[in-house]
Amino acid sequence: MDINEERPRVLIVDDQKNWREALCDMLESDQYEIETAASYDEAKRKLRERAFHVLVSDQRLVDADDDNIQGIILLDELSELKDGAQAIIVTGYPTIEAVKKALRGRDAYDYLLKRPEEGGPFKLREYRDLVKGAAQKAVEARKKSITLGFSLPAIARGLTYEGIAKVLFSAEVTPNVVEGVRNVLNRLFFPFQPLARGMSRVWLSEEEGQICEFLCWSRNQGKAVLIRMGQEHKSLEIKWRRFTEKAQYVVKESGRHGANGIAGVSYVVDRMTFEDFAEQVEED
Amino acid sequence: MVKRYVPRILLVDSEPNWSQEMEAALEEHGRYEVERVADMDTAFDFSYGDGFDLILINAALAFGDSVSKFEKLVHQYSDRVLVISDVRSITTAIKVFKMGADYADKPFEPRRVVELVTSRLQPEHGT
Repeated sequence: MDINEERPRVLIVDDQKNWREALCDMLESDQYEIETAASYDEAKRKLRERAFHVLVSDQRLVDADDDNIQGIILLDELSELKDGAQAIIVTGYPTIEAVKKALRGRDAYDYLLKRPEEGGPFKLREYRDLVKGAAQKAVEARKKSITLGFSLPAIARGLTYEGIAKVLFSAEVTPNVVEGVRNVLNRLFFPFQPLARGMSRVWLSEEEGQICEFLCWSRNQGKAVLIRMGQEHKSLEIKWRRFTEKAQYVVKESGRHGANGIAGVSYVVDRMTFEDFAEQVEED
Repeated sequence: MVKRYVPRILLVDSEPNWSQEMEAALEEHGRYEVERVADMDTAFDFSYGDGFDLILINAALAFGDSVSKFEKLVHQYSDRVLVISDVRSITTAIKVFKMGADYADKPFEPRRVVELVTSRLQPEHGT
């Protein structure tokens, strides 16, 4: 594994404490960075805070409700993030419908029974293998998305290129404009690909004046990339002078995408600690 | 007069009585053209050329000795393959859905299978 790459992050969700702990303990803790959540809301919040590689979720997150399948609904959150994360549903109450919803409807990586149909104990080895396979798939997907097209904005808030285009151009979003946004964003991030791989926090603000701003912080390198995008005539000047002086990379797509030119500028912000990063995010 | 399109169904089951009854029910009530075979190898040979609108296959045959042929068949037909299991099995359902095919269990009565097939082939009119 590349030294710059982090351990795959796994989020384990179960409303039952004993299962939550067991699902953690059964994984080799030195291979994964594991976090847990005890409810749908807590899981949803954690998924938005950080990019995970694998979500392991119990199907029924409210034990008193027999029909509860919040663990599967959680997969909608995951797919909105479009960051290649894989989900494994674990349950003691399987139904054919739920299996279909998870595997076909929501493209879960797998569906695992707490009590195997043929009897016997929980399949520990299968569980470990599944998490390992899911993590590998997520790592590959993420590499691919960073190489082929930039996925960090999506990680930020489940925003799509179209969503960003809407912020920049409000009503006038055509496929051409979306394509332009994609081009500009990918080109802006291209020089920072090695940095982008280790990025663990992304923050996005939708300002007045139709400017999108992304701040991506890399824990591995203690650096951040700041990107501002907007319509060409808007001022994209950096706000945070105390971190950096000059723009590193400027991209414009004038008039090629309908009436509006799209412009973007990116900066590498050196020596940024997470405290600095958090402070900036707080201030806005 | 425009000739009505008759969907073609491949029925794969080794139990001759049930299979004959199914064929009759599908052709009569559902107005489908049914091809009936009793094993996976023959089913695979029949499946070339994408000639069927739906393949109904018994789970015991699908996951029997010729499982690799079944996998190829699903690769070609994906969710137009409907695996029918005599017994409810979550494990089988998981396998089937992961492959991209569809699963239903215990539709013992031909009438129920006809309903199932009708809803699959005409989703806009189905239940």
